[in-house]
Amino acid sequence: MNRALLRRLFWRSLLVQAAWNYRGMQHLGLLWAQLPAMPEDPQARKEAMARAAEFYNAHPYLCGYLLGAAAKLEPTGGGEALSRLKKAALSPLGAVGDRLFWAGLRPMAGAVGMLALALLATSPQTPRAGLPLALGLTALAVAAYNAIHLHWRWRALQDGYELGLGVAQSIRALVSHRALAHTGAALAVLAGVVPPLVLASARGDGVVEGLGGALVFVLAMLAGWQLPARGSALPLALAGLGLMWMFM
Amino acid sequence: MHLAAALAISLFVYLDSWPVGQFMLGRPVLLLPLLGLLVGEPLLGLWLGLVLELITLRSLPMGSALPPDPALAGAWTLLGISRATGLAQGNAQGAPHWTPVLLALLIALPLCWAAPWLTWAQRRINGALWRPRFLLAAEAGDVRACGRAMGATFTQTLLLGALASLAAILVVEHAAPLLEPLALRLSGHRLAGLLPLPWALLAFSLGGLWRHAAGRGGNHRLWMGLALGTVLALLMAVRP
Repeated sequence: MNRALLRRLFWRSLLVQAAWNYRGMQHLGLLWAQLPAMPEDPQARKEAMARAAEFYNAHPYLCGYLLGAAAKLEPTGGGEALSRLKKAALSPLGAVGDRLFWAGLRPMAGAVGMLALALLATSPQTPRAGLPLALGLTALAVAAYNAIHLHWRWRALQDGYELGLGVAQSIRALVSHRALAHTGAALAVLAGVVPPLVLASARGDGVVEGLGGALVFVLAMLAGWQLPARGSALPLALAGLGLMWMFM
Repeated sequence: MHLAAALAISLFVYLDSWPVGQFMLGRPVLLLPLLGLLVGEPLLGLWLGLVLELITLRSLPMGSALPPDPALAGAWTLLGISRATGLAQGNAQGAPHWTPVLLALLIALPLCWAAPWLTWAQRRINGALWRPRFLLAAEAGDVRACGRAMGATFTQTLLLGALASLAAILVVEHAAPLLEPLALRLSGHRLAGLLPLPWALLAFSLGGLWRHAAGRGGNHRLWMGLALGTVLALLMAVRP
């Protein structure tokens, strides 16, 4: 395995979104990332670059599967098969990446960070004195997120390079990866832990005062739960709160 | 804070949001308390980070979607407020202590929805200006020209990001003193003790997080977490 080439592809894969546009989406980033793996022969290189510039949009963290496969297949004349693999892999790579990272790990790391801040607010120390601890915990959550994300990027690249066209099996296996179920469960537990701690952090600081404040807190939480996740729910709620505040 | 330093921080946050890596370093829950420490407003940074994180936790950058950008909005707000002169400094004047938080939220919330327009504009420019250069290079099989096109794209992305950040920081710097009376009025309202905006927002967003988590992991795990959190909170309450 050419590890020097893989390392170059890895660093370049971090910029896969840098030239994102509405016509080919991530295609220019992928083309640029693939440059170190282009064939030496000028004609083969032209064809490989044209293939790399085809439409591409998937989860940015998982582009390594195709980059690795391209590094293996393009120099050996497997470009046409690679093109078919790329078209077939777009949807699963996008769907799994979005579920695993954007809708799973990312909110989870955010929730851990908020938990750290809630712990800080409930701390008997003054919040200012506890800030380094809370920031440390939050930084730990972000470091854990990036350890997983970078490991996945590297592993995807290695799989693609080792397996070539066979990487289709790895991509198919991603769809039923157990990490998808685990992140959902962990997120649910975290989402349960945060509210009581945040509510508890209000005691004694005069921000939520008495039963009325707690009632408003619970009502607003229920509103957030029941209102649609997308669309105008939040702006409407904000406008309502603002109007109540100003005119009542 | 010097304007050049503020611009450098803004650019770092912008680059992490989509063009480079996406390491989540720009999440408001981490970034804003840190920035708060840097500009001498640690508690303001902490509260702003917490509330903005909660509001936008469910907004996902899937496909070509452009969700609100709390990190960039929060960074512009904190940096602009730290540079603003003529602020009454709510706490020092004996005003309710959430006045600065309200002021920051009044500024940061619209910016959350305005900041993605920068990304939209950059993506349009990439399509109109740089895509043809890349495609010409690919057609000619010219690796060096392709590399130069990426260099030009990245440099232009940095320039547009710097320009937008400069404009946003200056607007916040000048808007903050104008908006402060409104924040003071809101926090001094007789209902303010009953309905503090940050807490209502926080609760609203937590509800949204609940909905999201329940859909993904099952209600029983959510209730398990709730019980665990309650026990932890009670333990903290009885701690000497």
